[in-house]
Amino acid sequence: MKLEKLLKGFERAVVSFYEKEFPLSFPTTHFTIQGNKIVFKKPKWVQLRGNQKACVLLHTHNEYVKKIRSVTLYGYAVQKGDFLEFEPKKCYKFKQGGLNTLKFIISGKRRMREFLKRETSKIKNSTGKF
Amino acid sequence: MISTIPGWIEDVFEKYLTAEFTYLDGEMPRTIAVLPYYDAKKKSIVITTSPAFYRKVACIKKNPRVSVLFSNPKYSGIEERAVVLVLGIAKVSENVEENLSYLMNLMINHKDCWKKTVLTKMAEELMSPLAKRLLDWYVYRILIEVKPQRLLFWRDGDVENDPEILEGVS
Repeated sequence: MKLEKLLKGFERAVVSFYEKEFPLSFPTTHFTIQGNKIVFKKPKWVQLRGNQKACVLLHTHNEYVKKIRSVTLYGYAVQKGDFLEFEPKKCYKFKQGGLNTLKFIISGKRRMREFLKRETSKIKNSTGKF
Repeated sequence: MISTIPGWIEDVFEKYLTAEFTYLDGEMPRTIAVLPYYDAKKKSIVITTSPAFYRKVACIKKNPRVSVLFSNPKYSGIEERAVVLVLGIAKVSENVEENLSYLMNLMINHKDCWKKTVLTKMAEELMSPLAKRLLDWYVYRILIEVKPQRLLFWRDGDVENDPEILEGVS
């Protein structure tokens, strides 16, 4: 995963992790790339236990919520002093416009067909008819 | 004890254009950018999704403990840089026809601000003949209504410091 290229142009990130009852998130502009990891400055109130599953979202849009660009990273985060070291394992990226928008529409239509097929079969199975 | 959501936080809910919504898929947090509505009468944050992305809905039904982070005041007209993290319980509503009229009402009754302009423009775009053909699957919305249980907030936006906390909000 080429993190420098992936994160180019993003000034802020949202880091999420799970603690006791609820998922927690914080926004940050303090992050650097170190090899295959992203290092975040840790807010005082954040306490991670060992190597925890975490998600990092970076997204931008204009004033009309168009020209959307986003990168979502899933991986593991570990606390090291005042910092969090995040190692991404999976990445999803999206940039609105052109071919990407077309792919989004086609994929949405396909997913909707699959959803309707599943729902129809659920109804058939529960009532024996449709 | 039940705490009331302060007016300035309700203002953040209504005016911040986008937010970050996090749900759990097992122990993996999944965060997505959303354009949330705020139902001031029910004191709940309303997020919508297409049935095409049902996996998310299934995860939320399995574990309704979610969070919504309002962290970016850009385009909101609010000068302070407040950050509010809502920890809440989500309720899913899958009646897409009822959902559409509910959302329409929320939009019509939305406080006048830039977000209302954006929501109205988006709704108009989805009504165009081309969008009706291409985005028919996108128009139907499942609602995820988040009832806040606890609010963590930083009025000055400095999330590196400990948050102020409001428990048992309504």
